[in-house]
Amino acid sequence: MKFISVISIIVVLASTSFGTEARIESMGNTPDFIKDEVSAIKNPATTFGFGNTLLGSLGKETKLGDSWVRKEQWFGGWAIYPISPTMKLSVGATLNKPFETTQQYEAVSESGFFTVFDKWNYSPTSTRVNFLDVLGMGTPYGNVYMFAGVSIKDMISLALGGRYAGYKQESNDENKYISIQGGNLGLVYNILNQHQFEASINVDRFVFEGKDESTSPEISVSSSDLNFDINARLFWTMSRMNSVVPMFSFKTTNILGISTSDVGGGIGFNRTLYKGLIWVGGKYLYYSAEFPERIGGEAIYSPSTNQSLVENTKESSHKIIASFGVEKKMLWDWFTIRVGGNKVFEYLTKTDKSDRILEKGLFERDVDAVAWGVALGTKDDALRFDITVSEEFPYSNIFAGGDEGIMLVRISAALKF
Amino acid sequence: MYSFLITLAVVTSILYATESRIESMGKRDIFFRDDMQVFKNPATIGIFGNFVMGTMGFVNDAIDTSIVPERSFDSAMVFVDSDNDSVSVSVPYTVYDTVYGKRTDVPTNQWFGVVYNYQLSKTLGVFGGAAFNRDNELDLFYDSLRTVIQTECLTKLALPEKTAFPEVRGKMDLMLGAALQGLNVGIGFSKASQDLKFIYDSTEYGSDVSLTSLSLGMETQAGTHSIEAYARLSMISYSNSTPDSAIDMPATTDNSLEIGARGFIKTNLKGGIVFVPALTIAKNALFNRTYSRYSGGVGMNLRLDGGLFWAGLEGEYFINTKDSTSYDSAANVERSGYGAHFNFGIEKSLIWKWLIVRVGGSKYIGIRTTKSAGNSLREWVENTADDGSSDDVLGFGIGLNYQSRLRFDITLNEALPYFNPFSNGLQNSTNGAHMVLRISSTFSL
Repeated sequence: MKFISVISIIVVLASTSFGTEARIESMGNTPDFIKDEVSAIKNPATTFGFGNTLLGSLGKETKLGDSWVRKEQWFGGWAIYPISPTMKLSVGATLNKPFETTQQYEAVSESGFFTVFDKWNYSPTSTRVNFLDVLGMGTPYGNVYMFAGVSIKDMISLALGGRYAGYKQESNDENKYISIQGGNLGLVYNILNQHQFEASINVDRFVFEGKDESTSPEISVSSSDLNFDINARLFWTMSRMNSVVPMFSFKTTNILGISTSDVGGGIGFNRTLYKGLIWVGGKYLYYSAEFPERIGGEAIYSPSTNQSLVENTKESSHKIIASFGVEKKMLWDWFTIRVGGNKVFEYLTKTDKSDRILEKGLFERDVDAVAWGVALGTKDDALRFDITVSEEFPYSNIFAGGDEGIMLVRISAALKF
Repeated sequence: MYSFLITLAVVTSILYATESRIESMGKRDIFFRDDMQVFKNPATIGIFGNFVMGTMGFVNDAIDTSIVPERSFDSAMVFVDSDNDSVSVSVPYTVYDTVYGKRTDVPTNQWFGVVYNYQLSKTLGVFGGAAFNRDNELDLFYDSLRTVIQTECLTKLALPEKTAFPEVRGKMDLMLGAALQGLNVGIGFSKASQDLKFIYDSTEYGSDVSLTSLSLGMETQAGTHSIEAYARLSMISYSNSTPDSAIDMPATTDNSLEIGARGFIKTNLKGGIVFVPALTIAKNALFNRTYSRYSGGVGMNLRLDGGLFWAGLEGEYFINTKDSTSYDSAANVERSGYGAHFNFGIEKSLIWKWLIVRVGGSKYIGIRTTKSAGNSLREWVENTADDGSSDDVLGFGIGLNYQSRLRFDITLNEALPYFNPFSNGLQNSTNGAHMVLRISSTFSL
C-alpha cells in the first residue's frame, strides 16, 4: 500500500496542471475554468489579455524535518508594446519557476520509487537504497522560460515560448547530466469580439544521463523522453456577467520509464459578482500509467517494509473532478476573501504485465478538498498579493494559531504597470 | 517639543543609509541610482545632494548559512581539492556584507556618514563626504580570506592565535570632489589597518595589515542623459613574523583594481524608460589568491507614481586562482566560469504616502569549472533560492518615508509573513529567527 501511495504522489503531481499560485490554490485548485495570469505559463498568447505584468511568488512553506522551508520562489513578467495601431508585441519571461517536468522529476527522486539492492554499500543500515542517491544526481537548475508573441487587431494572438532547465556535473570519472528543453505555442482567438478561444501545445524533452566509474560496480544509465500536453478552452460569453467554459486537455509524461497520460474534457461556468467572481466546473479524465521494473539494469524494489520486487504494473482510471471557487472583496476594497473546493472521484484498475487485475475500485489520492485564502491589493487591482492561508489557523487561538505558528502557506503577487 | 528634538537627535545620529533599499528590491543597484553609490563613485555626490546616512547593521542567522567566503552557489558542493575558498566573484554593486557569507546573531556592520555639496559660484561647486566604521568591499574581502589564512597558519604551527592576521580597525571613507557645469569629478579614499605585535622569548613578532583604497570617479550629463565612470585601486599591505620563520611573510603589497562605467539614457518610451548599459572589470588579489571578473549588461528603470521599477540582464565571466605557498602546499587551484544575472526590483508607495513596499528578485545561472592537480570538475551553478543573504533569489522590505527627507529602509525576513508573530515567531524558519534583517536610513539636509 505504501508503494501505491508513492505512485500516487508522483501521479498527483503529474496530473496537477499549472495551478500552483495562491489565487488558484485557494479557489478551487484548478485554473481550467477561470482567467488568471498563470495561464501564461502554458499559453503565452494569453498575456495580451492581462497587459504589462510583473508576477512572482515568495514561495510555499513546506515542513522539512523540524524546520519550515520555502520552496517554489520565482519571479517573472511580460511587457506589451504596440508597434502599429493594429499590431502588438509581447515579450516576457519567468525565472526559477519550476517546470512541471522539473517538479515531476523531483517527486520521483524524493519518493524513493527507484529503490534498488545496495550493491555499492551506500547505506550502512539498509540493504536497499535509492538508486538516484547512489548516483548523486542533483535537481535541475535554471528553470528559465522566455516567450514572445504578436497580437493582430486584438482579434488573434499567437505566441511562442522556450524553456530550459538542467543539471551537469562532470569530472574525470563522472558525468551526471539532466536537461529539460521545451517550448510551447499558444493561440487566443477573439470570436465576434465577445468570446475567446484559447489553445496551446507544450513540449518538453527530458534527457537523463548518469555515469559513475568511481563506484563498484560502475553505474551507467541514460534515457531521453518526450513530455507534451495539448489544451484548449473557450470562454463563451453568455451575458455581461456569465460565461460558459468548455475545455479539452491531453497530457502525457515520461520520466525514467514512468509514463502517464490524461485525456478528457469538461465544462465550467463562471459568473462575475459585484467585486468578485464565482465559478463551478466539472471534467472527466481518462488516466493511464505504466511503471518500470528496472533502472540502469537494476531491479526496482518497493520502498515499503516488505521490499518486494516491483512488477511492471499498469494503471488506468476514470476520473470525474468537480470543483468550485469564489472570490469577493469584503469590508474594504483592498481586501478579498477566497475559498474553493476540489474533489476527485476515481475508479481505478491496476493490472500486472500479463493484464491480471491486481486492484479495482474507487480510489482516493491525496488531494486536499478545500482551501481558502485572502488577497490584499489596490482598489483597481493593479497590485495584488494573493495569499493561501493555513487551514489550521482559524481553528486555533489567534495568538498561537497555525501549524507550529505557520499562518500563511503561500504568497504570490501580480503588478500591472 | 524638547522630547521630540531629543528623539530626533538620537534617531538621526544612529540610522541613515539605504543598503536595505537595494537588498530588498533586486539585490543589485547597478541599473538604478541609490545614495550608497557615493562610495563606489564619489562624483555622484554632486547629483545626490546633501544627506546623512547610516545603518544599525544586519543580522543573518539563517540555519544553513555558515562563515565561509564561498559564494552561496547551489552547486554539487564536490570539490576536487579540499579547499573551498572561492571568494564571491559577482557581488552586487554596493551591498557586499551578507554576500561574503557573514553570519551574525547580533547587528553587524553598523556605520554612519555624511555627504555635503557647497556652491562656490554659479558654475562651480565643491562637495565632500565621510563615513566611519563601514565595512567596504576591501575590508570584507580581506576579512573573508584572513580566516582561511589564519586556519592554515595555526594548523601548521600550533602557534598562539594572535600570530595570525587580525581584524582591522579604524575603518573610514573620505570623499572630495567638484562640480563644474554639468561635470562632476570626485576622489575617494578609504583606510583601515592593524599593527599587532607580541613578545615571545624576548623577541618581538606579529603581523601588520593596512587596507587602502583610492578611487576616482566622474559623472557628466548630456541633455537628459548621463554617463558615470570610476576606477578604484586598492592595496592590501601585510607582513607576518613568527617564532617559526617557516611561515613568515615578508612585507608584501597586493593590488586590486576595479573599473566600471554606466550610462543613463532617457527615452520617451512608456512615460520615460531609462536604459542603463553598464560594464565592470575587477581583479582582487590577496595572499596567494586572485579573483577576476568581467561583466556587462543592459538594464532599464522607470519611475512609477510613487515608486520605481527596474530590471536588468548582465553577463559575467570570472576566473579565480589559488597558488601553493610555503604555508599552504596544496596544489594550485583554478576556478572559472561564465553565466548571466537577471534582476528586477520594484518599490511603490502603498495605502499611505509614508509607506513604501519593496520587492525584488535576483537569478544567476552559469557554468563553473574547477581544476586542480590534473583533475577537473565542471558543473552548472545558480544562486541559492533562500539563504537569507543578499545573493539569494528574492527579497522584500519596506520604507518609512517622512516628507521625502527622512527615510528608514528595512529589509524584512522573507519568511516573516508566513509565521504567527504571537506564537513561536520565526523559530522554525530556515531563514533565521529575526523578523528584520537590516535597518538603514538617510536624512536629506
